[in-house]
Amino acid sequence: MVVDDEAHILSSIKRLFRPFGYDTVTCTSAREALDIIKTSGPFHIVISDFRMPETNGVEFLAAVRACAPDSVRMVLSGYADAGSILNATNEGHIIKFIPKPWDDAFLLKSVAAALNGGQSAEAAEASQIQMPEGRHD
Amino acid sequence: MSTFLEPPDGLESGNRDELLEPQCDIPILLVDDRQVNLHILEKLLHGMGYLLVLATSGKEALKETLKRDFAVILLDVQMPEMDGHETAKLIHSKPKSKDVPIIFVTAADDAESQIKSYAAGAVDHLSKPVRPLILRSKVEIFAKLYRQRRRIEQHKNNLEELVELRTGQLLETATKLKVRNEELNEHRKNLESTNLQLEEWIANEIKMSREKDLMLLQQDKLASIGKLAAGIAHEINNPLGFIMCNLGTLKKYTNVVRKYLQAQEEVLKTYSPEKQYKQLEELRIRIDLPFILEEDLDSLISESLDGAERVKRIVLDLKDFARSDESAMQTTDLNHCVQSAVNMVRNEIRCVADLDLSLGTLPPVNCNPQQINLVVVNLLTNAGHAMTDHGRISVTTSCVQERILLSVADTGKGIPSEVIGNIFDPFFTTKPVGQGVGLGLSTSYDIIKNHGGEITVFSEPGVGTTFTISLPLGGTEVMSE
Repeated sequence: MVVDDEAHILSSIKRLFRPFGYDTVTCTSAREALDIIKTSGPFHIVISDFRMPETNGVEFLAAVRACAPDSVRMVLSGYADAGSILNATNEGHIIKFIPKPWDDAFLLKSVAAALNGGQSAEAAEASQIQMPEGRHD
Repeated sequence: MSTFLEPPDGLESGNRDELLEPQCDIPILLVDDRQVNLHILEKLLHGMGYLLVLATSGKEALKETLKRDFAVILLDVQMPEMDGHETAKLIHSKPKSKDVPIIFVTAADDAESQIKSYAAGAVDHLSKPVRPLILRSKVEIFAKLYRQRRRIEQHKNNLEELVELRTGQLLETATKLKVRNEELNEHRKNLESTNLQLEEWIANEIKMSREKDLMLLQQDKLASIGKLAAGIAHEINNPLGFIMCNLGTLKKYTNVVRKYLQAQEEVLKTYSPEKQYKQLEELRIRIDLPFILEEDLDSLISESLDGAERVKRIVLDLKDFARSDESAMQTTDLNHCVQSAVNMVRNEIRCVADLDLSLGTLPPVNCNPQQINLVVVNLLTNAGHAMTDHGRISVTTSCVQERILLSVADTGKGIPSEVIGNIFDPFFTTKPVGQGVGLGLSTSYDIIKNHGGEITVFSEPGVGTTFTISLPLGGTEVMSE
């Protein structure tokens, strides 16, 4: 399940995941997403944008945790300052904070790792936050 | 002050009569060679308030007149050794006694004797036997004269004393006034200098508060730029996210499509009728498919990805430059700061100078990266503005003895020696109006100082300028606001 208020983001991620055979469900509203999770969930992975009109990603993922505790939760955000990363990891028990624009390979690797169940939420916490890339030139 | 002009004690009118009316006896000299005659005269004049001095010879009389002043001398004419007339002449020849009145007392009553007496300087002439009343009244006349004279003298003395006293007081007052005047002058000078200091202080305060206002304004501006940058960054990152992701997918699609078309091409070449294949071949050439598929599609996508990557970096720089937690000291890679700053101004500088970066291996330094960024941006911007022709700007970092050195050297027009002492002053600028208010170097100076570092300048007009910043590795305990 991928949630973002920007439809283009959703379709680009859907395209990215398609070759790997993931059953990707997308939603532009956090409230709708919760309904879908309740009716047709639970999902293995829930990836959410951080800044959305109705609610923020951390609040949404906290709600997801309440109704589907076994889902692996990740945040995908363009608003990557230290404070929001901390909130995301502490309040939403989120195992990954992926900054926008994301690195495709890193996102795919994170999803694959979560699906393989190789890491519990606790073990992954805080250690797997990808920081903005450094400069190379 | 008025007290100085009041009459001194003891000279008031109430005391004056007492002083001018001497209680002492009036001195009268009686001269006769016979004791009996002296005795008679003494008796006659006794009890009238006179001090009677007796002399039995002219010599004795002369001695007495040298000792004191007499109101009158009663002088016997017939005396042995020196007679009265001779004695009188001698008495009147002395300066002290030249005016003393002399009455001759003589047995001779003839006119010739009288004339002789007056010729000898007598004021009067009494014949023996003396009539008491006449004697007394004549003596009293001179006693009165004496008293008056003494009174006048006393008066004169008092006046002189008074004048002297007053003069003294006036002099004293004048001296005091002079001292006072000097004190006042001193005081005035002190006040004037205090006033001057106050004026300087006020001018300085005004200047400082104006500087502070402008600094605050600058900081406000930076803070709002920061918020704006963070907002813009987020807005850009969303579309950038799917653009980059889609470009990645497109690249994969392209490969897939190309593979499929290659396979199809093999099949067509082998199995399709020659005519149709030729038509297809013509179409392929006409629509430029070999170029599109084999050459351009890949570079189109990779160039687009490259562009997107650059946008991504710019946004990161923007966020680095104006992060919301601006005042935090943190362990920083200074080369990263330099790189960030360079990226910010690269476009501005590109058209006036080539940029050389020579970044050494640096240990992490404790500093405020946003502020250091700002300093490097300021130095680079100034270097750009210093260019007359297309020049070169070199940025160097190194670590020497627990300090990090960062230098920005340009080949611009240089700083004239007469203004080089002012370049770190607030509002000092040589740039044309509108190109800078003159706060860049001043702000940079403050920032480096707050970091416990130093910023120095070396400039040679016509050759170029080098700014060197030296920062301690540990930063400073004093945090800048």
